[in-house]
This record gives sequence, C-alpha cells and structure tokens, in this order.
Amino acid sequence: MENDKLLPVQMMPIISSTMMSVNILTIQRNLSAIAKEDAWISMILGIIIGVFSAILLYSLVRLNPGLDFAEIILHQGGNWVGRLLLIPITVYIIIDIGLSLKVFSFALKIFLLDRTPISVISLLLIIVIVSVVAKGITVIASVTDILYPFFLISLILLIAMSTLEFQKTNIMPIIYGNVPNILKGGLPAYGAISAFGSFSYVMKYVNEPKKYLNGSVLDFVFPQFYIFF
Amino acid sequence: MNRKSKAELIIICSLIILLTGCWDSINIEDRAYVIGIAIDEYPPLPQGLKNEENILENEQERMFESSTEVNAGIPSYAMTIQIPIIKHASLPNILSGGASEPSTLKTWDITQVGNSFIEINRSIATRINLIPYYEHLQVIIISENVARKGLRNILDFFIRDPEMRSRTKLFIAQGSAKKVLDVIPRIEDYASIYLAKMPRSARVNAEIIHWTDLGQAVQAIYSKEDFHLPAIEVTEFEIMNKGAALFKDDKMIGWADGKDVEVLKLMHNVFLGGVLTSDFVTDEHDSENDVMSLEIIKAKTKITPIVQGDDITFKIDINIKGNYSEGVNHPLTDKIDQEFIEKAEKAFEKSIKDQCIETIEKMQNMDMDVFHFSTAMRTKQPSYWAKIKDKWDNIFPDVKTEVNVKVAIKQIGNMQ
Amino acid sequence: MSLYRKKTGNKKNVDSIKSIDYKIDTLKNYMNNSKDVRDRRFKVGGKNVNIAIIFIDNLVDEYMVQDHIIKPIMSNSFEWPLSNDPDTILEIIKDYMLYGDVIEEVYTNNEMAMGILDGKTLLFIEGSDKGLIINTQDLPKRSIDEPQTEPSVKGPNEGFCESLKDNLALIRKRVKNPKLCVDIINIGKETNNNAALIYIKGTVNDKIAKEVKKKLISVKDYDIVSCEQLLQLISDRPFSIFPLMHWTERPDKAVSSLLEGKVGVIFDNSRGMLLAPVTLTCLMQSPDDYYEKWFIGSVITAIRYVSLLITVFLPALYIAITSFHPGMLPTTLLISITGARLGVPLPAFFEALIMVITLEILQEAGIRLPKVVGQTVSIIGGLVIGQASVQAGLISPIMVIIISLTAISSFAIPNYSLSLAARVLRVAFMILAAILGAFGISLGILYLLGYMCSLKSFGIGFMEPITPYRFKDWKDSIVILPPSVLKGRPEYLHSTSDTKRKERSKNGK
Repeated sequence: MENDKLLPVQMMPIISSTMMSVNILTIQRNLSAIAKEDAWISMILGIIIGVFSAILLYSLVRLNPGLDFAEIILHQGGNWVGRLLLIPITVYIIIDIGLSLKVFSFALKIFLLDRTPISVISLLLIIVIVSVVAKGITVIASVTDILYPFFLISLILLIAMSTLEFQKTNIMPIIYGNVPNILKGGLPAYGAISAFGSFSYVMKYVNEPKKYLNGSVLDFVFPQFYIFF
Repeated sequence: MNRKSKAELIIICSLIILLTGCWDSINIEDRAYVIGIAIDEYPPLPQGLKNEENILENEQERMFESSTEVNAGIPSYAMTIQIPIIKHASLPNILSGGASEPSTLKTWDITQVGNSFIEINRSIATRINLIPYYEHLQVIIISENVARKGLRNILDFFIRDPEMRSRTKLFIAQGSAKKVLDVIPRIEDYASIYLAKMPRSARVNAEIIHWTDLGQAVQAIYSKEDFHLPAIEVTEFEIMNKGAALFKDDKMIGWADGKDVEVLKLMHNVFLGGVLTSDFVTDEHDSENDVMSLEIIKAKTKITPIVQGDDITFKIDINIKGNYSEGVNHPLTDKIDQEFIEKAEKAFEKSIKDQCIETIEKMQNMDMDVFHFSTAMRTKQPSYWAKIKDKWDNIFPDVKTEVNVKVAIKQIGNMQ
Repeated sequence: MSLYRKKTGNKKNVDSIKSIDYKIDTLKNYMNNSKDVRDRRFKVGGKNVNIAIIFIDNLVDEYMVQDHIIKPIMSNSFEWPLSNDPDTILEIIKDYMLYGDVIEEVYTNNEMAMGILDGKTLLFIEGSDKGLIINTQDLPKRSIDEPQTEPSVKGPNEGFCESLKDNLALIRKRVKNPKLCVDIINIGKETNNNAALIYIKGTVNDKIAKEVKKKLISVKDYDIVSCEQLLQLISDRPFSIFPLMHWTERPDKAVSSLLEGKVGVIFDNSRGMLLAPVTLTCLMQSPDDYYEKWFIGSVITAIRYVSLLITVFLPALYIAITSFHPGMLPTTLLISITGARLGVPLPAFFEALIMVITLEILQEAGIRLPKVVGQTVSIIGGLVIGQASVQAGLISPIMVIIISLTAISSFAIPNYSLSLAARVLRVAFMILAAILGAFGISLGILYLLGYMCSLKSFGIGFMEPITPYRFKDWKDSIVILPPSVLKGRPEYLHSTSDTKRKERSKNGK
C-alpha cells in the first residue's frame, strides 16, 4: 500500500465534497436574491469560469511537482513576498471555514437539536473532525471515499424528488432584461466552486493526477438547475 | 506517534466536560403531539356575563371560561389544538389492555385566546402536563371570518417556526373552525387525521383540491398571486369537502363551488381525474333528464395570451382524454358506433366549454385571477406585461377568452 | 535390575562419568526427578555394553518403544562388528537396527531433555556422549471435529483441532503444491511451544511474510497459551477493538486465503489458525457464499452487512428517534410506540441499557450451559423474561422487539471477534445517542470511520477494497461474481507473481 500517497481515483470524492459542502444551504438564497429567475444561468456561468481557473491551477501545480499550494507560493515568490501573499489567503481560508462551521452547526441546531447550545455543537464537530484529520491524509481520503456514495445518493434523491416541483413557468422568461443580474450572480457561484482549490493541496500526494476534475464539476451542476425563487 | 495519540486521548477525554446535560432529550410519552389546529376569531362576549353557578350554557361561554387572558388588550384569535389521548387510542397492541369503545373521547381539544400565536402556544403549556410538539401537525383549519380578515399574520408563525412542517394542509371552514375538530369520525380515531387523508381521493372526484399546503399558500401570498384553499363543511360525524375558498392578496373574497373547482383544476393543469357529464345526444331517445358521463383520464391545458394593440385575448386549449363511462337511460341494446362516439365527443366538448366560460365570467366578475392569467402573460409576453403590470387588476375583468376543447374518447365500457 | 548391576559392576575400564547410571541420574535431575520420566537399561547382544533409553511414559507409544527400539536391538545379534567402540556401536544400531522414522543425534543435556519432552525416546550408550532421539510420539489429541463457530450448510465440516501436525495436514492435503512453505518457530521460554508459519512462496507478498516472521521471532520469550494472545502480541495496534488477524477454524477458508497471497500462523495446542493480513470484507465473508450460486452469495453478503449495521445501530437509533426526533416517524407509528410506552417507568436510554445488559448476561450464561439443560433454559428464559417484564410494565414491547432483532443480527456476523467488537460498539453508540441524538450518532460514525480507516493490518489497511476504490477487488469482496469472472488475485495485497492469470486461481472457501 502506498504510504502517504493517494491514488488518483481518490481525489474525486475529496474535490466534489469540498465543493458541495456547506454551499448547498446558502447558495440558493444568495443567488436567487440577485438573479431572480435566471439563477441557473448564473450557475452555469460560474462553472465555466471555474473550469478555466481549474485548468490554470492545474498547470501551475504541474510546473512545481511535489509541492502544495502554499509551498508553491513560497517557492515562486521568494521568501518575503511569498509569505506576504500567503497571509491573506490563509485568513480567507480560515474565515471561510469558520463561516461554514457556523452555518452548518446552525442548520443542525435548527433541524435536529433545538435546545443544545450552539457552542457545544460546534466544539464537538471540531473535536471529532480534528481527531480524524490528525491521522493523516490517507485516512481523510478513506473516510471521504466511504461517505461519498451516501452523499451522492442523497443528492440524487433530492434531485429526483424536487423534479415534482419543477415548473417551466418559473424559469421563463429567459434572460429577459436580466443580463446584468446574471453576471452579478456569477460571482458567488464561482466562489462556491473555487473550493476546488483544495485539490492543489492534495496533489502533492498523488502519483498521477488525471482528469477527475470534470467529473466533479459536472456533479455540481445538476442541483443548481432547480433553484427557484 | 506516542505524543499524537496522547493528545488525542486528552482531547477525547475533555469531551466529557462538555456533556453536562442532554438538553434535548424528552421521552416520547412526555410530549403532547398536536395533530390539528383550528383558528377562530375571538367570540364577542355574550351579554350578561357568566352565571353565578358557573354552569356552562353555550359553547361560546365554555370557550371563554376555559381560556386565559394572555394580553391586556382584547384578544383577537382563538386557537384550538387537538391532542390525541393515547390511553384511549385503538392500538393494534393487545398488551396495552382494553378495547376502546367508540364513544370514549379520544382527543382533547384545548382552546386558548390571544393576540399572537406564539403567546397562545406557550400559554397552552400552562394547562397540559406534556410538552407540545408540532412536528406531526396534519391540518390547520381556519374559519371564514378569520380568513376574510387576512391570512398573512396568522401564517407567519406557522412558517417561521422550525418545528412546523410546510406540508401541513390548510382548510377553510364555514362558520366555526372548532366544530371541525369536534367531529367524531366513524372510521378514524382523530378528526385531524380523517381530514388530512381526505384529499387523497382527488383522483376520483374533480371537485376536491388535492394539494394546497402551507408552503404553497405562503409562496402565493408572497408572490402576490391569487390562490385558493379547500373548503369544508361539518356535521357531527362527517366532514365534507365543499369546493374552494378564493383568496386575493391573502384575504378571502368568496367561495367557489364544485363545478368552478373543476374548471379551476383544469386550467391549472392539475386535473387528476374525475367525471364530467353532459346532456344526452341521440335523437331517438331524446329525453330531457338524461345525462351521459365522461371519466377523464388525462387533461392538458395550454393558455396563450394574444395581444393585438391594447386588445388582450387568452387562448385556452384544453385536451382531454377520457372513457365513456355511463349513459343513463341509454338502452344497452343500442349499438355504440363511431358516429355515436363522435357525437358524444362533440357534446362533451360543448358542455365543458360552457362550464369554463361560465366560471371564467364568474371569476371576472369577482375580479379574481385564479387562473393565473398574469403568469401566462408574464412568461409569454414579457414586454407587454411590464407595461400593464400595475393595472392588471383593472384590466382583468375585461379580458376576452377563447376556449377550445378537444375530447377524445378512448374506451367504452370493457372493450374499445 | 540390581542383580545386573552387580554382575557388570566389575567393569573398571569405564569412566565413571560416562557410565550409564551417571548419565541417567544427570538427566533425571535435569528433569527434576519427575516420576513419569522412565528409563530402561539393557545390554547389546553379546557385548556387555550398557544401553539405556529414557522416555516419558505418557507421551510415547509403548508399542513403538518396545517393538521398534528395544526388540530389534535385543534380538539382533548378527551384524555386530568386532570393535568395542561405543560410538561405532551406536552407529551400527542407528543404521541397521532402529526402526524409528526420524532419528536425530544430540549431544547436550538441553537437547536431550527437549527431545524427551517432545514425546521421543532418548537412547544412549555407555561411553559415548552422543544420544539418539527416536520418534515415538503418541500425544493425546482430539479427533477432527466440526468447527464450532463457523458451521457451514454445504461445505466440508472439518475443523482445525489442537494438534499442529493435524492442522498442517489439513492444509497440505488441500494444497498439494511444492511452493507451500512451512516455517516452525519456537515460542515461549517456559512453554516451548511451536508456531508454524505457512505461506505459498511466489504468491505471497514477501514483505508481509517477512514482517510476520519478524514479529513472531520478536515474541519468542512470551509464554502465551492461546493464539488470540499471539494475535494481540504481533498486531500493530494492540488496543484496537477490531481483530487485526483473521482467526478461522475452517481449513477451506484458510486455504483460499493462502492462495490469495496471505500468510497463516498456526499455534500448537491452540485451536484454529490465524491469517494475516485481514480486511473488513474478509471478516464479513462466509464460506457458504462459495458453495451456492454466485448471485445468491452476493445477496446474502449484502444481508450480512445490513445485519452488522443493525446490530450496532438499532438500539441507538431507537433512543435517538424517540427521545430527540419523534418527528421522523409517521404519525400512526408514533402513536403506537407511545401507547406501548405508556406505563413504563424508565426513560428510553435506561430501558435499552438494561435490556442490553440482560442480553449480554444471557449470552455469557449460554456459553456455559450444559448441553442437556441448554435448550430448555434458553427458550424459557427468552420467552419468559421478555414476556413477563413486558406484562409487569418494566419495559415496553417495542424494546423487546428491538433487542431481539439486535441479538439475532449479531449472530449473523461470520467472525466471532467482529461480533464481540460490535457488541461493545453498540453500547458506545447508545450512550452517544442518549446525549446528543442523531447528531451524536453521526459524530460517532465519523470518528469510527476515521479509526477504522487508520487501522493497518501488517501494512495493508483494514478497510482496503472499500476505500481506495479498487473496483477490480470488489468482485470478490463486496459482491460475488461467478467463478469464471474471478481471475487474478486481489490487488491490495500486491503479490509478487502476476496479478492476472488465465486459469482460475480460486477454489471454494
């Protein structure tokens, strides 16, 4: 067994999961507030931008084999400039993760456990996840691997059940007078997808990265077709 | 490796400190499951206040007696909740002992008055020893008077609270809503469940609206569309589904009876099944009281707006596939041939078209756009819609409609 | 005896150290003068040279001692050479007269003692340092019986027994392959027990074989009694709940694992065989899957996985749903459950806990019930305890159903150690569910998955064919496809020979 290295086929669940994560809960509201009926077009726009930047990142990582994202920045920019560039990125990631945690625990609290104080939920989540993550990247990959099919199945079920509510009248008229809003909506959509940047961290451990990106991107497109106001 | 696992161990042990209590754990028998809610308006006080001997004279007095004032002002709503009494429930379980007689009271209806629903909710807790739990709420029944005043304030609480499901069914009752919960159904234990399961027969009868729940109603209110809710009428043992109540901008405007509901469902493309009748056709057996019926399998409607200058016409195309199911007084010996089928189809078309036009006129007189012509306009002619959006209420009564019905009879009796 | 001694006592040219008496006394002292160490002195025909044999009477076959050692020496007087040299005489005896099938030459006291303790006979001659160890073993042992924990419907019912030789024979007769290697390692300073390491050279991954051998050698000094202790000593993580080597009683299962490229360890005087490395899917496979049609095997394997889930999670789910989230149940079911729980004094968690503890007590007691009384007591106990406590109002009937379902599911798990692990996990999840409801269960599952994925059994991960998505391996572990499709060995073992071969590489388990 390859120690500390991942098989290429393991990258797919990790990337898809990080992309979907908490954004499922929040993105509908945000996008529809901006772009009203044509939220689905903004989504597609965001995906196209996402694919481009994915290719960019991919070539960047290939140029520096064996390093992950943070190390690439340090390597390319020299010590001082590199560290300066790293700081806002790290801060962004921490804030992103913190927000996701808050949203997730809040959602859990509302639907599952009413009266438990939110600090307990968040803290427990952090403890369990840290103890799993601390076991190393292979363990993270394995856990994600195992949970991935359940995740996919629930997603597909969700899509299947919401086709009941699909009414064409809700998404017409297409692009009538709504273009600027669509473009504005592309940005948060892209923000959701950009979480795939995590793959740049994982590639360090992979022997032969292949084109599993496309699969994960496609996965993401489907639920977004059913966003209505 | 040693340090790592030690750190892990410490982290896990520190979990124990957090778990100083299970905040949410409530035993299943300690909850009061609210299965139905009835909302009435606060009854005006009977003249002469209460008797000295505390005899409960009429129903209104009984309600006043059993409620507590929760606000200084005059309360405006009276909410009744229905809680099943598990002891008397007819369970399939032999061990729980004792069959329940049909006359035992199986539910407990509690009424409270107040101004805001959450206050009423909490004040119910002063009377029950169990904790109210709303996730099994099946129906909400609103009385006509309350509906005419406006639904927005009422439904706000039910939508916001995370415990409520937005699939709860709404009904409008003529008269008092509390009477609905007092019904003792013959085949079910609880009136709420009896009522909640009723719209399932929408496949059989077109006069029943099959799917209007809390979520849809609120959605329609917020998008400023006109919608309808099923209406019910009660006797002591039964609840009857009686057409629909029409709402404009969250206030109830009027009733629509059974036939109108059929047309409504046709227009909305949710006609799940039902029967339409028309007068008889054949010349030989022409008698005035004969009807023939068409059992409808599939119905599809398309509404297209046609704008010519300032003239708006809506073209409505209805496509119906059905079975010829019955012809009263039609002798069995008579052959049913192709000619007869065509004549029958034409007769049905005519009768359906008449019905539609009648209903549309009625709605236009009431100025209720229940058919969602506005949506059709918005999707198909967006530029024109932007112009007349604000004046739609005035334009709607004058809109012309053109109804085309096409009926195809697929089956006669057992063979085609 | 004393007469003889007196007669030959005038041999003055014999050194007193090398005299027979001295040798026998030394050896008996070495063995602490145990009374079951016997000796027999006799003379070589016509030469007056003293010979003695020493053996332990309960370990040897007396017939063989008499007939194959004493008789040929005493009755054979033809081949004697002219010299009197004790070594030559010993040579002659060994070459021409002894009928034993295995003969070794030993020189030291320790080796002689070991030989005697093994059940072999020691023969030495006066005047020579050499001794001969002749095989006359007749150890008491059980005959080959049905495997007790892994019975099979259609498959062979031979099970491993305690004798190392018999176990090795059971394997050898199924794999008649010259590449099957057997290494014997002596374990235990005080017990001197043997452990055998078996693998098929050329198929097995050499790293695993070396690793196991290294570990076995490193525990040489431990005095252990059972192979379960051996398992714990040579595993990587002794604290893990899950077994990291596969203990099995069936030779057919062992043989099929060996053919896949695994390594087997048999510990003498301990029932069963250990197989390394092990993965979760191996633990959940039963031999019956291969004795039926492949499709039925797949379906039943799926049922087994479901029963694993049921036995771990069902009481926890019941507690979580009824105490925290009654909204998840349909309304009529809810009213039934509430009605069933009306008179019960305890909250759901304690009810479940009491029932689980009762279940554990019943299971433990059931192991020790004598067979005569066993059946009646278990039936009556189960029915009466369940029924009576429900009627007394102590527990609700729903709880009885849940507990019995849990108990039955735990017996559907093929590997006994795994079902024990499941029992422990069941209680842990119940506690989690009682504190935090469904969220607690999810946290528990997450941590358990992390834990299981980080377990490694001799370098191969515990969750192997499941996690890195080795799709080729799934056709034998998770679902079972027809034998014509099963070619090649599991990828995760990285065996040394080709992973793809044209002909079938598996026989039934």
